[in-house]
Amino acid sequence: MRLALCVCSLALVVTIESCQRLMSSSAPAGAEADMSTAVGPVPGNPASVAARMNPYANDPVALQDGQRLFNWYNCSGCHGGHAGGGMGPSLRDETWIYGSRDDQIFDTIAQGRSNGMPSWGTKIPESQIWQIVVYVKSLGTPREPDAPTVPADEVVGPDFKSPVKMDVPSPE
Amino acid sequence: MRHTLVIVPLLLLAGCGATQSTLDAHGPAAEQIAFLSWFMTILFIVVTAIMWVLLGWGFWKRRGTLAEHASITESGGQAWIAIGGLAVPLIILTVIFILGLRLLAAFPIHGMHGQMNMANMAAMEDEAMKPSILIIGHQWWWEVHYLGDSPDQQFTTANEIHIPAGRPVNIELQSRDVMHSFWIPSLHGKVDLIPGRSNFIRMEASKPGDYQGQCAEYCGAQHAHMRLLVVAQNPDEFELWSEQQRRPASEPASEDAMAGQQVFLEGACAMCHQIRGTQAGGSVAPDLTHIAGRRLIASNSFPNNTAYLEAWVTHAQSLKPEAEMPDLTMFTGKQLRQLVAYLQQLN
Repeated sequence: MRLALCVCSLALVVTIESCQRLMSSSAPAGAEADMSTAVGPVPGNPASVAARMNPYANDPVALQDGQRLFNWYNCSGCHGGHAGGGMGPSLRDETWIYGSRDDQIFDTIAQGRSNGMPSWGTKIPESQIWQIVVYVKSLGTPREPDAPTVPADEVVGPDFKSPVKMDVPSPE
Repeated sequence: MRHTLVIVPLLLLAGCGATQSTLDAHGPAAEQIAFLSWFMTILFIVVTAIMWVLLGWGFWKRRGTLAEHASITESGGQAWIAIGGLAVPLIILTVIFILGLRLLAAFPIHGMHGQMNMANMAAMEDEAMKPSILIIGHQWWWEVHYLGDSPDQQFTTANEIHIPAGRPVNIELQSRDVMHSFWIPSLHGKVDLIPGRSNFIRMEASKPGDYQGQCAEYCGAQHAHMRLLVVAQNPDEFELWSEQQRRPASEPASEDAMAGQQVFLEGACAMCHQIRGTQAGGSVAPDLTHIAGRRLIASNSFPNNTAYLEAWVTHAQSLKPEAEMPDLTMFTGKQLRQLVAYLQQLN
């Protein structure tokens, strides 16, 4: 009886281990390297605590749903059309005030942040917040659905994220 | 004899329910459609019967053996082809074509397509052509706006359309996502709801009653659960109903209902749903101002009772997978009971 119990628990441990390995290997490596530019102390867990995974990461349907929810829940009311900025900060630019990881964006939406971001944790179901996170992460990248068109004279390079340079004639 | 005794009451009972059949016509448009359906069905049964008789006649009345079978050029075979194959079908199809044209001409607004062009605008100037109801199709429910001459006459509801019996009602149809089709089989023919444009239809129920309808253009996973109900009432009853619908939501009286209102306003509900007279002003889901007065929920798919309301709030995705209503599992049992108590007094 005891032996059977031991064998069973051993099998369980091995299964969990291999599952975790499978899941971690399927995540794309280095996908966020160029996006993390927090400008100050970031709320949330320290880096030593493992970040929660976004269940919808790389899900194209969640990307579309997230865009619809972004407009339905009137996020664009403060963050502007295509999240280009308004009363609230732009979500298209390179600056991630409260961190660019999926779980950090999730916390920003769920808990709210000082300077005006309300907390939506009691209002929006968790799954929908993750979908909005997918959309927010896609803003300004080639993955963005219905991206705004950039006027031809403002396109500076193939990279959408590069800041727009304007040719202002310098005074003589 | 005993069987008849059982069957007759059953048939009478079946007549009590709301009807959803083209052949059970209750309006001028549907009556003409039903007439044409019967006319064509009987006509084609007669034609088919004649064809079988001729086939049998040709089979039994053999001329000679197979080897010495008469040539088709000899005994008037060409006349059979000219009369039976060309003249008779031409006459029958022409008659049906003319009847179809007459049906279309009788209802000029039925299926009038398109944006506001000059012809449509001229038509709208005419009081008789002006739409009084705007129906917007969504995946998977019907948003219903009653248009009035002034803003205080307007109100919004969903999935249950009340109309005065015996009077023509002009309806404008739009879609917010994909194509749908508006169809109350007992009252009129199908008219599509097309994204980016308006279609128009005139609907009339000849007597008061309930008429079931259905989206008739496949529109996604829950197409089958995109149902609607037309309730034709006596004109004065309809006026009373409209007057009551225009009012903002009733204030919660009981303790449970008051707590339920707080749950509604502070929870996820207010993000999408509107209850006029409260701060809940979402505009992407059905208006719940008078939800308790509707017979069914979830686009006329489930009864409007405590069990289904609670199930719909917590597990909408089990009842109607892929609908926009999410599973809201964050409520405690007490909160859920209060929330449903609040919804049930919104009449």
